[in-house]
Amino acid sequence: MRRAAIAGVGMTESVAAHRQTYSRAELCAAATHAALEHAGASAGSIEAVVIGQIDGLEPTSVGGRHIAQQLGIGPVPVFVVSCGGATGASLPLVANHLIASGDYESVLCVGPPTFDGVIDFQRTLNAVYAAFDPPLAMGAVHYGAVMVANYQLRYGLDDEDIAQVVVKAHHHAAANPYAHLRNPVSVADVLATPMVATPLRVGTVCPVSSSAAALLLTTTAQARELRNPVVQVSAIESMADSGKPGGRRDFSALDNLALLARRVYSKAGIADPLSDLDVIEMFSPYAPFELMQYEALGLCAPGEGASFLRTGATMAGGGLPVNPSGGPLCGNAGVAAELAPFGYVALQLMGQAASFQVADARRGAAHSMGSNWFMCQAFGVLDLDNGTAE
Amino acid sequence: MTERPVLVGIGTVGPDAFDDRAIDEATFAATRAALHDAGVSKSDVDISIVASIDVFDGQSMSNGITTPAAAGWLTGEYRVEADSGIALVAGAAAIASNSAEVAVVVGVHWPASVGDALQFATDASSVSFEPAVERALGLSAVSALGLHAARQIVTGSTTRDEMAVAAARDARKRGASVDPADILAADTVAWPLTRAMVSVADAGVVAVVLASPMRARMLRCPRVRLLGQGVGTGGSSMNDEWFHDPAASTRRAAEAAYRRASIATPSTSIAAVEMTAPSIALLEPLRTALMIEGLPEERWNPGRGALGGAAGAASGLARVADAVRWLDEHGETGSRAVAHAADYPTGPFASSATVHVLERI
Repeated sequence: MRRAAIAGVGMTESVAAHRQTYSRAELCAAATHAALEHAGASAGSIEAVVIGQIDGLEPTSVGGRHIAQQLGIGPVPVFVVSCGGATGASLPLVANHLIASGDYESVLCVGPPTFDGVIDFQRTLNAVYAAFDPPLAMGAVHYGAVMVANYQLRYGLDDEDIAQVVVKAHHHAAANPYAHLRNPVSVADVLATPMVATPLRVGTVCPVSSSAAALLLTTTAQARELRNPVVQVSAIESMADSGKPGGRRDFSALDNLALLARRVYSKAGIADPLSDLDVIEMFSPYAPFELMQYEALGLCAPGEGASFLRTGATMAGGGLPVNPSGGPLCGNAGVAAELAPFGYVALQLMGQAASFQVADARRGAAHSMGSNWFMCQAFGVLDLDNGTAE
Repeated sequence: MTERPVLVGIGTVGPDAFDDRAIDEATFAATRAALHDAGVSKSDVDISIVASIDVFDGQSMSNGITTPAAAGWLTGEYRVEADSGIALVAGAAAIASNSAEVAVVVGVHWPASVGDALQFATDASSVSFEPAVERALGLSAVSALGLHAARQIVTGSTTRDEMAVAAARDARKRGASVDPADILAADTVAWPLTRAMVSVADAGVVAVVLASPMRARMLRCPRVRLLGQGVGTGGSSMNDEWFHDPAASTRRAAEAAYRRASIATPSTSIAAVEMTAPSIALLEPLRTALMIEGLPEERWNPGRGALGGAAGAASGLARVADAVRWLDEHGETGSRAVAHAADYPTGPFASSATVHVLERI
């Protein structure tokens, strides 16, 4: 069976959205040409573009199709994907289908910045979420707070445990030139920040950032002709639950991610993720989500996320580094930040990590999630080419 | 793509007058009908792909409500913001890549407004132009289509009277009793186009079920094979293709579809065409772009005419459903039809066109 491979990665530096001086199209063009240069590929080799957008969150509508026109790669077919916070990780999913089908050889994934131009982002989110839930002035951070509060209540997590995730993220991001927040922080620093929605504080939620990301996916055969070590897409899937509070039995667990991970692991031949994976980049916009994700991914038992973090296993230099880029806690530009985990893992497997290089990394996982009550999940496993695939 | 996916079920709500169902109710109704038509259940579905354009439905992040209704609950899923013809290409790729055995593809156009549909679409379109031109110019799909139509007249490609004759002929295909004078007497929306010369999208949801060839053989009613598909995206403000050659995206899509279907001479291989034109001035350029010369007039849009039956992002699948119906009623095993659609949220700017070659089984 034909497999897609990541041949090139391009990202722009992440900055505060309100301080961005480049247009969204300029940022996407910069990321695109960085990915092409990284791969050693020409713009003319691209046969299709898969680009993300989140209408409603963005200050424009149908922006993706117009940005795609301004990348400087000619009139190629454009697939615009939009599924909330899972959009970014869904881009390589679509590209993988197009390439593995045999109809396309080379597909560019583009993650634009989502929040540029928004003045009061929380107010925007509140209005957006009112479209599918009663207008209770709830936004993503409130949904997240409900889930995290349940998790805290059930497992006795304290605020210091949450802050430790942030300390780790900033430590990692300090070495990442693409990250938005690169300042080291302490637990005390994090706990001193204002409360947003209990138990989430300013210091434990993602910043509103601006950047762009691009990945060049090709057939494995074509990737072998290009510049970098070949990173294959071994398995990638998406999944949604009902998106309704009544459809969840337990808010203290990301059951939808757990179910998806089991499917992806099965396809990728992963029996024990803790020993089979070398690096993970997760979309964890709120610090406690990372702990819940450890559990959903089978890295530790339910309720043991905080103690697992304290072992140091997920730190750079640990047994299974998680978010060595710093993750979305140190830069969340929307679709760009949802696609970035695949770029960061690909760079790790190529031996060209943006931040801390995981020694001898050969297999990694990447993810993003979103929409109401974080109902949509997309997750994939990448492998360094072993020379056997088509 | 070696083994082409098979279309095994269709379900529709509309396209016709607005009804009072919510967007997820209409999505569920169409999806349920398609699953029933195919003879499969929700648990058979491996992936669900929804196509809709939020601003035209008065929604935001609508996947939150349409995906579960489109059999996308606990299955693979994603949404595209484009015409459903694009989603059909993506669904076929999911199957051809061996990632899925059964895929549901749903096109949704369910505007929140129950007032003047053209005015609502024009307002939404005007907002959608901002990322194209980086500022609010007051452009809309209709005004851009008017610019193109005016150019057709100025360059001598056609006349306003000829447009009226073509629009009346197209309207008669869907049973309307109008003559060219009626077309010209309608309100002008963007000179030289009158309201009767542009398509107005009705609300509609169309769902189809695709299956791998192996899985299709186990189902009760495999309908057509997706022999070849192509996608083309039109130029934007970066060049003048939208103005001088807005049918170019359709031409690129057709070339790709025929190549994948191994069709060298479409004129002798295609028995009928269902296509979408957003304005009567684009009808002939789009027909030419499809490269099917010599097809009798009654085989062009035998369903509802090129301006009729439009359903926003659901149009692509609506045309596929019309083409399948024609093959069911008039074709025989091996007969082929073409379904074409494009989305026009910003008129001919960056419009994505799809061409699907369907072969009756």
